[in-house]
Amino acid sequence: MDEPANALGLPVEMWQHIASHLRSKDVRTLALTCKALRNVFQERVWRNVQFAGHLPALSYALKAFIKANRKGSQSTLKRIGPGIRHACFTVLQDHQPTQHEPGGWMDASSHFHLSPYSDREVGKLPSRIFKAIDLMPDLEDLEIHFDGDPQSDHMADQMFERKKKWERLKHLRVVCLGLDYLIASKGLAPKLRSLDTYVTASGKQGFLVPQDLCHLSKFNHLQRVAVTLKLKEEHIPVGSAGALSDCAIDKICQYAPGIRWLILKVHRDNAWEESLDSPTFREHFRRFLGKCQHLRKLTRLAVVLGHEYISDLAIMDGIDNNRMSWVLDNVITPELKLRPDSVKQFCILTDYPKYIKFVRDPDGHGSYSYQHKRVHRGTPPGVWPCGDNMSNPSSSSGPRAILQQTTAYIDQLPIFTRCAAVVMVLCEVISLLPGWDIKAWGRLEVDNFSMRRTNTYPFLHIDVFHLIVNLIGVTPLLEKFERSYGTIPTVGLFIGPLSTLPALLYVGLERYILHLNTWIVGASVWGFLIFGIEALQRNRSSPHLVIYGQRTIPTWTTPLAMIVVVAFLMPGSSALGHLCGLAVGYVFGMGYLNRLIPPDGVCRWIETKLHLRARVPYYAAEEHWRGD
Amino acid sequence: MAADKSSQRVTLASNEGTHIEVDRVVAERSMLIKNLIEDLGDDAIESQPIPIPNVNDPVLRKVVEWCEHHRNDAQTSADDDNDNRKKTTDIDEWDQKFMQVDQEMLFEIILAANYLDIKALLDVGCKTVANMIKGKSPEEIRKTFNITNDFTPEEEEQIRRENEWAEDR
Repeated sequence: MDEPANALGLPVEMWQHIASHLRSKDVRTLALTCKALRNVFQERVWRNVQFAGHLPALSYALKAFIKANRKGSQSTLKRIGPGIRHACFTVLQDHQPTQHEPGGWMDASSHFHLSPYSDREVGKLPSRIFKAIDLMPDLEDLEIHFDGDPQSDHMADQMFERKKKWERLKHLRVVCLGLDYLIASKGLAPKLRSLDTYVTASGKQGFLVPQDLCHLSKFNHLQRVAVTLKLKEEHIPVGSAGALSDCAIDKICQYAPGIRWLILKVHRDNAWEESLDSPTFREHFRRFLGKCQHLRKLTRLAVVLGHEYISDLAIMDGIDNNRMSWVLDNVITPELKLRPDSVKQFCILTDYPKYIKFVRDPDGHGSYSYQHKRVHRGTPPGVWPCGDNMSNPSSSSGPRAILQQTTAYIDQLPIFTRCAAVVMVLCEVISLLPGWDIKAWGRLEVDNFSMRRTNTYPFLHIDVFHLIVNLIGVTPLLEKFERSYGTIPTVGLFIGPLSTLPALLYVGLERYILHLNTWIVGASVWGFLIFGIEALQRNRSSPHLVIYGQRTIPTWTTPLAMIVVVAFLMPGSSALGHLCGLAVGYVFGMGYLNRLIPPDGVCRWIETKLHLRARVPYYAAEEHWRGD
Repeated sequence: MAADKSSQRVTLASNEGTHIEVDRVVAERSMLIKNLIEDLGDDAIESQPIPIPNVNDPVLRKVVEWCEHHRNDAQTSADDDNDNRKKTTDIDEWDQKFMQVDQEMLFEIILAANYLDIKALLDVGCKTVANMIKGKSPEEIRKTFNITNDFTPEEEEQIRRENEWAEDR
């Protein structure tokens, strides 16, 4: 070949192919490396955008987005607006953390607490959202989660002035009272095929369907309707959800008889929970299915039961599983016979993990399934703290800044790494206190060998200096490992084989070959272990270190050099211990120990069962779930 | 004809003119060659080598080595468990060893696999590259692939900020 092949010489399709094996986070990183790769991945990275944040931050972010995408923008980069197909705008409320999924924002009863300075920005938010949408000419799929009365009013004001149509918009999902009604009445989305909307009831005024759903008739191409029944007050009488569903299905039959796909979502709340096993519920459900007969073209019907976000733990804990299962088996399944003949696919989606099961088709045709509703992955990692008027703390220098950076770093450590570091420090503190000699209890001794010691020794250190050196050395490595393997596998590996194996190796060597009896402690074994794994990984991509343009040292040997250097600098450390760690690291890196990694399915299962993602802060998930 | 198909040998000619003789089944791991053989007919390939003009000798040998090892694998159809194949970067042990070559060779194998239409090999190659990228920072990726950073610091900062808003569903 004339020219040696290099990474950038690969054709675009090859890069797309490679990216198909990567998670989106890695693809985004890849797009950050150089212009050529950014151009390859720009569209993919930018197909879906989520703007989510608390009010002032979100407003600032939109401002920046609009600025960067305006025609006369100074930026030399290609504008990103045109590639966007799906955009989601979510306003988080004050009490909602940004790192986690936006749980509970369906609760419209709580109000925003606006600080005075943000009021002006808040007022601009609706117009900024629309400006941003205008900068996305290819937008097909729009979600706006913008609940709360004052904001809805702003939204409505903006809508009345709008003229420009969203020609390509096919899917609209709004959680913003009356917004879809306005869009319909002004004909802003002429091509809309799919609409997610909600009807609501409040206990005081009896049952109420606010916009009557009559706006459905304005969308000529509507094929799919998802209606969420939302109950606002707690003291709604039993059966209100059913009554609401009655109302909703009547309106749908009247205004959108031509739809093919209907989704009815009933959000669990107290009133609904009570009504579940009452005869009223069955009656309403039966009536609902009966009325579906009027929808002649209906082929797919889904009923979603449960709270929209399973991360809402308060609600999760209160689930009465037995009752739910009784309802599914005794009410819903028998009544399914009543469904319209045209319906080929019927499914019940619940967010109750216990109901991931398939139900046999009661009369021999069609397919029925209970499915686990996927968690809606919400906010992007952190809100862009871009305040035009905010100073950047890291730009100042001095010990305070260093301290700030350190705390910021510690703040983002994943859970196992963090716990391990805390335990190490605690052990050191305990050993400094008079009384229990924790080091003699837990250190790895050759003569006085026990399995317990093979797991305790990494947490202990000779003295404070040793501890500090190890913390600085090991924490970043452990963090990286945990991020790439996930928290559960990391715990399983390090409180287990990856501590035990080096220990056994060490004891074996000491006892049978060297005939010595030196005890060891310290987390540096882990450090060298991970170092070994990494060195092997790097060895695969670049087998030699290049010094002055010549391939000199094989990459995999670098940790060995490290051991020599460490042995030299810290004569008290155990080079043999480090070697044992490194050896296990090499073996692990070569993939011989892959069996020890807990399988993906198991981890996912544990994660789902315990809702670790939502419950444990800083939990490093092995892989993101993606919605379909 | 079908009976001797298994023992039939074909000759491949690299762009440097060197000839490699392989079993027909092995060569037919490549959809390109398979279609070519069907078009040319059995007689034609017995008398003359099949030219592979886009692939040089060492790469072709490497590809043939892979095909020899995977000669008995079931042919996967085009969109066979598409979802499963993606997102996982597990590579079997032999393939992992096979792919431990320098980058130049790796990319040429990928290009050759693409040209010769050997889907499984292309997958293995791409997964290997994906594994080199996984979990790395942009700077590490640049170092790995010897990519020069042609962004200005301002541009880089802008993209970094933009990326915070891009999220797959």
